[in-house]
Amino acid sequence: MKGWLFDVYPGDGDQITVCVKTVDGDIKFFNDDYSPAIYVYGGRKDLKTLKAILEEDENAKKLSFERRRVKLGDSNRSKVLKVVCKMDKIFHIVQKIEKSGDYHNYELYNVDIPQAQDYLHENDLFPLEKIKISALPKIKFEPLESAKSVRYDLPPLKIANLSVKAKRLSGEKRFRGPIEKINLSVDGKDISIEGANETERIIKLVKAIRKSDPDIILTEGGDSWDLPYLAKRAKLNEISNRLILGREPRPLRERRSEGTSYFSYGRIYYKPPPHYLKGRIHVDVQNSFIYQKCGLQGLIELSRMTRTPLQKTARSSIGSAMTNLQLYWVQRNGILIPWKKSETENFKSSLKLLEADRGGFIYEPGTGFHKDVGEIDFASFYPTLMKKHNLSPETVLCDCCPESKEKVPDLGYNICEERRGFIPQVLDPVLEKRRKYKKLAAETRTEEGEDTYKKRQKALKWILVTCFGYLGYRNAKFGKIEAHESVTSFARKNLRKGAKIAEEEGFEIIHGIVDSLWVKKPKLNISELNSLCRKIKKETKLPISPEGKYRWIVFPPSKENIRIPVVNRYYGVFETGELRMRGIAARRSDTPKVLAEAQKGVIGKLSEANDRGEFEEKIREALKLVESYANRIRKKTIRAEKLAIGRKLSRDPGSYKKNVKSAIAAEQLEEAGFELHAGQRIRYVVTNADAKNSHHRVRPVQLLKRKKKYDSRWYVEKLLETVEEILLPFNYTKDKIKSEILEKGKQEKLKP
Amino acid sequence: MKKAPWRQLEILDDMTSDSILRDTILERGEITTFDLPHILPIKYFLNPERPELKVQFLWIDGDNSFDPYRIFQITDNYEIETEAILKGIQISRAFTYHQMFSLIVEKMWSAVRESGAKIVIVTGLPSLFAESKLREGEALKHLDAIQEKLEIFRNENKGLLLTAKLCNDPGNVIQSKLETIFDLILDVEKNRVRIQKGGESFDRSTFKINSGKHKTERTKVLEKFDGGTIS
Repeated sequence: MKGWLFDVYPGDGDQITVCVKTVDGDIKFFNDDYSPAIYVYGGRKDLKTLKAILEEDENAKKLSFERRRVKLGDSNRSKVLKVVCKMDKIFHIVQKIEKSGDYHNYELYNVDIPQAQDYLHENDLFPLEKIKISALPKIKFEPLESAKSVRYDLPPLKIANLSVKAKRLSGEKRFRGPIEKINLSVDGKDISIEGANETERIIKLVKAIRKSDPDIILTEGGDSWDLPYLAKRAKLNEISNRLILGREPRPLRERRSEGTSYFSYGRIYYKPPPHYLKGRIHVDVQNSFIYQKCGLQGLIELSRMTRTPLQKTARSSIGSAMTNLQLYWVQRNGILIPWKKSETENFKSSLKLLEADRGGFIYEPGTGFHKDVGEIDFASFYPTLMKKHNLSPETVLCDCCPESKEKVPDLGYNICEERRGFIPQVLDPVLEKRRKYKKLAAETRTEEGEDTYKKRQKALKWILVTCFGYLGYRNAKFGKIEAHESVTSFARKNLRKGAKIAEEEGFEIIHGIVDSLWVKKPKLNISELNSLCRKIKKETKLPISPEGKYRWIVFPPSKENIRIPVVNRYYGVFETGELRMRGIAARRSDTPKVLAEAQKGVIGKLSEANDRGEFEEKIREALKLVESYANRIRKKTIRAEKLAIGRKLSRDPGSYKKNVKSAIAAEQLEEAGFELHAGQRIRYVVTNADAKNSHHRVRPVQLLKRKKKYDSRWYVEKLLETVEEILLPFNYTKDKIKSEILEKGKQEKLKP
Repeated sequence: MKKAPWRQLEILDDMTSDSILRDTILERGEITTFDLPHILPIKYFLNPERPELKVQFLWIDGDNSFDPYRIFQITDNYEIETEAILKGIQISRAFTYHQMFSLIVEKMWSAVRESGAKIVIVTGLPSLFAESKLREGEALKHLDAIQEKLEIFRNENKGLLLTAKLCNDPGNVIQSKLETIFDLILDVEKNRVRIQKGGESFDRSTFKINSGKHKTERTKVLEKFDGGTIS
């Protein structure tokens, strides 16, 4: 039978369920025997004793000694004890091993590899792979395509959208309100779910799903609301066993586990517990970074590339996707995966640490208005450096080549000459596939094809973005801080070299950050930028190309001190008319939509200017736009949705020490029955910023009854601040803007 | 708020005026108030007539406490070559509890031998331990192993400085385990010091580490220990 590997997940007993969508469009399930194996490394005598202990335990199905590479950099294989366990008894065995080794005598490997992925790795399969499958006498897979393929066929996928609305507040944690409405649409067609009572509505939904038989169910918040709410309401109506949304006859159960709050790059995030379906794919769009950024095509590409089932990929962070990619490579190359990473940073003098622990190079921007500026960027800078210089955890400061000729600039770390690092090898197919997708997107003649290839290449780009950070991530299975430092060291060297060449060619460096340079030259044209890139490429042997030439670009200063520039904050317009903005309110996720829209509108108006003179004239026109926004805000014609401020909770509600707006809004939501965690995003409107009673200052969007009740004075002030942020280099302070638009004709009051 | 360095130096002067620190010190408080790890290495560079006091330090940093700019800031007040101080500190950062455990239990003593370090600074151990969420049995075994390695400092009269975020729970396992292996416990927040050496223990809540006004009282505390015991 031919088809696509639709999903893989743990089944009953020691079995894995393989779900295949056949070329005829049917869904077939197969159960395959599977028992996970963990590995133990330790003293020879200790391992023998351990083997004897585990032989008495029926949960250890098979014990044997093997020779495996326990560390990435190992040339030799070490003797390890392989323990094949019952699928659901791994942690029972692990605890036993840990206890008998006084919790630090044994090193454990391959303990926490997700079972579905382990199965895919073992069989060298990937999700949505086209395969030929035969079930007798034993399941056998025959690949019909390569993982490297970029022009792969996908099965036709039927997509449904599901949302469930409560009579009381949708989203409140105790799911007290009965179901008011269920919306289901399949392939764009709405399916009516009505019924005299709640039970009937739930049963009708189950029937509608079974009848329409979608492959993928998309929800907006299904992990935190729609699915757990349905499960709870089904339970209250005593029809839990009938709530079957997947293709296997397994009812959806109410999940008791809470989600997790975690930090990434200094920001806190929250993930609700996943609600997977069996035989269908549930994607909670709100809980899927990759779906939000790259759509279904990007999600599928990432799932195939990282060899991780689709439902898991949808909920993975990009860092986890990177881990999954590494796990596959490591397993296929016979290296064991450490459970508790204890490899430490080498001792070094603190002076050396000071030199090493730096990020990318930064040239502070020259604040103000600039013309004749071009931007040039090194392509996939960090991944390319890692590949070019063989930077990997086991190659930087390797034991085998202390006298290597390959050294990290400034730091002097030796780089292995004997072997190619695993990180460059892991990155190879990603870089290669991305290059092919970019080419295909440029060559393809259909809009749909172009969109598909663009989304796929964008998904791969995210892996490349994280591969550097992951080297230094504390929980990365195969990270090494010195390898991380080496990447930035090479990057600084090359950016400095690029800047030097630019200066030699008569350019002025206006700004530089990590992998990009903004260069200025009187009467600059694009061919000069191309020529500069060729020279830098020749010297550095790194791909670099012009991002574009700006008609003009503005680097606003710090609001606190106008003499201080702000790194990576600018706005400008390319000669093509394309706007470019970074670090300003319009780009920040917490800015109310109306203010972002106003700021973009102002920049749009300014983009009509060709030079400084025209720019300053356009400011007056732009201020008229600001005035119209201010009037709309004051007349209260703006919808609450556009005024909402989105903030992530930096801590659990109740543990805030100050009465900040987020804390007040979170408190109100908790009082209304919502469950909130650190990292979760809340949205609120400022209703009376100066109210003595803090509860009156803000109102969460979900609890707003009068949609037009907001503090217009506060919003107008914020509007002025967003405009000031971009016009400060032209002496338009908040007070001046205010006097020009709100107090027309009046002179700006002089400050004492 | 950072305490002004010269104030804390007063007590360090008493302990380290003539020789290299041979005591074990636990500094308890909030992360922002810990200054001893930065002051101690500088302290030995303050006396140009005693170059033998310029010793190597080993710093195991579990909470990113090491701040080179703090050292620059302090040395601004003195004519000291900051680079020499930075070169004299061998550092490794632990980002997870298991790395911290490995550094203390498996790597610390070989690093001490290789670098010739005379004093070891450990920062952030209790917070990483708390973060690790080890099961009770595992936690106790680990603590035993850590305690055994750290006790060597006390038994061999070597210098050890460990910082710990203040914990108000008297039943806190790591806190009570750690307390037993220190000669001097400085409660920075509470302005309290406990000196425990040679089986004796002396606890003075009125002792003001950070105030020069209570110099007499401080002298009394040290006299109680027959001068020189804490040297």
